[in-house]
Amino acid sequence: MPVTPAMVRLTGIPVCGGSRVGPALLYEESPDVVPLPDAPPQDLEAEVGRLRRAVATARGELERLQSALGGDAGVGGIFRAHVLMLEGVTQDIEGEIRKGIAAERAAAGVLHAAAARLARSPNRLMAQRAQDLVDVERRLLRALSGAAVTVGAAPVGAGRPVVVVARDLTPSETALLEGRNVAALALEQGGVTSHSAVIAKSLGIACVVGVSGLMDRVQHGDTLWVDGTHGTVVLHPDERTRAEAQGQGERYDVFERTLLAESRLPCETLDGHKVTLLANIEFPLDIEAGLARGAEGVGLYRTEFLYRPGQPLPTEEQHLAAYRSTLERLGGGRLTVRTFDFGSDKEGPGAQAAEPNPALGVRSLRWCFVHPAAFHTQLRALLRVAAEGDVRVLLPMVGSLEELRRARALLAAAAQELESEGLACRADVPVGIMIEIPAAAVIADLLAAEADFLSVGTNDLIQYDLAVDRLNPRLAGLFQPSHPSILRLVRDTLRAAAARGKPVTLCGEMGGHSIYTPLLLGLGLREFSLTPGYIPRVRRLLRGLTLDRARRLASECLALATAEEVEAHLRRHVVPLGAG
Amino acid sequence: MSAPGGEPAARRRVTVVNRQGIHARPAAMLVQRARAYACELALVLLQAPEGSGAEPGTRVDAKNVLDVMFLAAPAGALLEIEAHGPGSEGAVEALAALFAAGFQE
Repeated sequence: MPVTPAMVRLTGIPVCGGSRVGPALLYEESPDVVPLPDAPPQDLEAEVGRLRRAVATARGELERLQSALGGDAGVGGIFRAHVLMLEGVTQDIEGEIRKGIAAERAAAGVLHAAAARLARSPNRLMAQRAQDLVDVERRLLRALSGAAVTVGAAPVGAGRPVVVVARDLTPSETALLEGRNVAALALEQGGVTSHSAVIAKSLGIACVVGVSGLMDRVQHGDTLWVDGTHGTVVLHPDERTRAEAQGQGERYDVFERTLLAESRLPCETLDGHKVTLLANIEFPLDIEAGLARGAEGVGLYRTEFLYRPGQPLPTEEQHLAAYRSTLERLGGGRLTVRTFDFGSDKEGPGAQAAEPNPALGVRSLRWCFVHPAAFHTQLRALLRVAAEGDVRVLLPMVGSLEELRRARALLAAAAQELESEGLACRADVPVGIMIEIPAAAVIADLLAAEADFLSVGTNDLIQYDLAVDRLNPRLAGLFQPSHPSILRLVRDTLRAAAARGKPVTLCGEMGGHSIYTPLLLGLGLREFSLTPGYIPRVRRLLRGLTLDRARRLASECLALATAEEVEAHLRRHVVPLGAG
Repeated sequence: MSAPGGEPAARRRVTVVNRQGIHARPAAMLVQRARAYACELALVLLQAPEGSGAEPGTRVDAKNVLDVMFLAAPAGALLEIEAHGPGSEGAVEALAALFAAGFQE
C-alpha cells in the first residue's frame, strides 16, 4: 500500500522571488554521485541508441551555450571545443557498450581514461584541459540520466516545469537554465552573492541557496515547493500547503507583472528628482534582461568571464568583439567595463602558489599590474571600443592615488601606441574607480579629484571594512550592509564626489535590496547599478518617494548606533512602502 | 591509431610554428578542417624538441580532437600529415596551410 511521505520543511537563504511547486530534477554535479548501473544492458543496440540521444542532447546544450556566450570570439569558443571532445569519444563509448556495458558506465570509463591521459600530458596547457573532459563527462551523464529517469508513468519534466536541485551549479550551468522549463532552483550550497545566485536572479527564476540537507533528502521526481521570497524549501507539501504555495505564487506573479509593466516609466522621485538605473551584467543575455526592465545602460560589465581556467587569455580581438556586441545591444546607453578583477572568488591565470590570504593578495588591479601584457591587451580593446560609443573604464580595487595614476599612464601609453598604428581609439575615455577598499572611501575626496567617476562596490567594501569573509556562511550574520560604519563610508564617498562634481554609482548587492533604496537615495546616491532582476522593485520604490522623505530617513539611520537598530528602523518605515 | 595498409595517397611534413604548440584551440581548428574531407587523415610526430616530453613515432587520427590533444605537439616539432582515400591532396594541402599560418596565433 502506498504511504504518503511526510512533509519536510527545509530552510535556506532566499535569493529571488517567486513561489513555485514542481517535481525535483536532481542535477548531479559529479559522476561519482551518478549511480552507475551494474547490470549489463539487455539490448545493446537500444543502449547505443540511448547514448546517441544523450549525445545529441548534450550537443544541443553546448551549441546553445556557444551562441549565447558569443560564439568563437567569446566564452562560447570553449563550448565548441567541448562539442569536438564529445564527438571524439562517442565512438569509443559505443564500442564499450557493444561489449555489454551500460551507457553510463561506458561513458564514465572512456571519459575518465581520456581525462587521466590528458592530465599526464607533458604540455601544461593540455594537462589543464582534463578539467574540460570532466565537464563533458558530467554533461553526458546528466543527459543520460535525464532520459532515463521516470516517476510513475510520467518522466520528470515532461511538460511540467521542474525544480532543479543541486549541490551547487557553475555559472555556465546556471545560465543553461534560461529558456528551459525550469520553475525554480534550490541549491544545497552557495550564498546570495555566489555567481549562480546572481545568474538565477537575472533569469528571474525562484531560487533558494544554502539549503543544508537538501541533497540527502530529495529524490528525482519528489514534489518540492521553493519559496524564493522566504528562503524555504518544502518537500512533499500536503494539499493545504500546496494551495498556500499556489496562492502565494499567483500573488507574486501578478505583482511582478505589474512591476515589469512599469519598466517604461521614468525613474524619478515623487518630487521629480531623476535617478539612473543601470544593469550589472556578466553574460550577453543579462543585457536583454536589463533592457527589458528599463535599464538605461550598464554600470558594471564584469570581464572575468572572457577567461576560462586553462585557456589562453583573450586576445585584443576577442575583448573587442565582446565589448562591441554588448555596446551594440545597448543602443546608445552607457557601457561601464570593469577591468579584470581576478583573484578573490575568481582565480585568474598565472596564479602563483596559493595565496595565504587571497582577499588581501595579488588580485584585481594588483594582478593587472603584475600581468602587464594581459592588462595592456584589455586596455587597447577598451580604448578602441570607446571610439564607437559611450564606453567607460572602471578600475577595481584601487586603494591609493598612485594606483589610479599608474593605470592612467598605462592607458595613455596604449592610446599612443594605437594612434601610431593608425587605429581609431578614444584617448580620453572616462576612467572611474571602484570604492571597495575602506581606504579608498576614506580618501574619496583625493580620488574624486582625479577620477572621472566613482563606483561603490559594497560587497567588498563591507567585507573589508567589517573584516567579514562574505562567502563564509558562519559569518553571514556579521555581514551587515546597515552597519553604521558602512553608512558613514557611503555617505562620505557620495559627499566627496559631489563636492568635485563627479558622479557616483553603487553596484554592490546592497543596492538591489530595496529595503536600502530610500536610505541610499537619502545619502545622496543618484545612480544604481543592479542585477537586472532587482530593477523593477527599486524603480517602484523610488517612484513612490520624495527626496525629502529619503533624506530624513537617512539622517535618522545615521543617528542610530547599531546595524540591528538600522535594520529595525528600515523595516518599520520602508517595508510599508513596498520593499521586500 | 594504426596505419592503414598501403602507402598514403598524400603526405606532407610540417613544423609547429606557434609558440604554445598544438594546444586545445589549434587542435579544434585542425580537427574541424580535417573533417571537411572524406579521406582518412593522420598526424605522425617525427621529431620533437629535447625535453618537451612528446614521443616521436606517435600516430594519431587528425579527425579526433582528443587524439590531437594527446599528441600535444610542442613548438618546433616536426610532423607528417598522411592521407588515405579520396581528396587526399587537397586535405593535406589545407592542413599544411593551417600549420604554416601558426593556427592564426
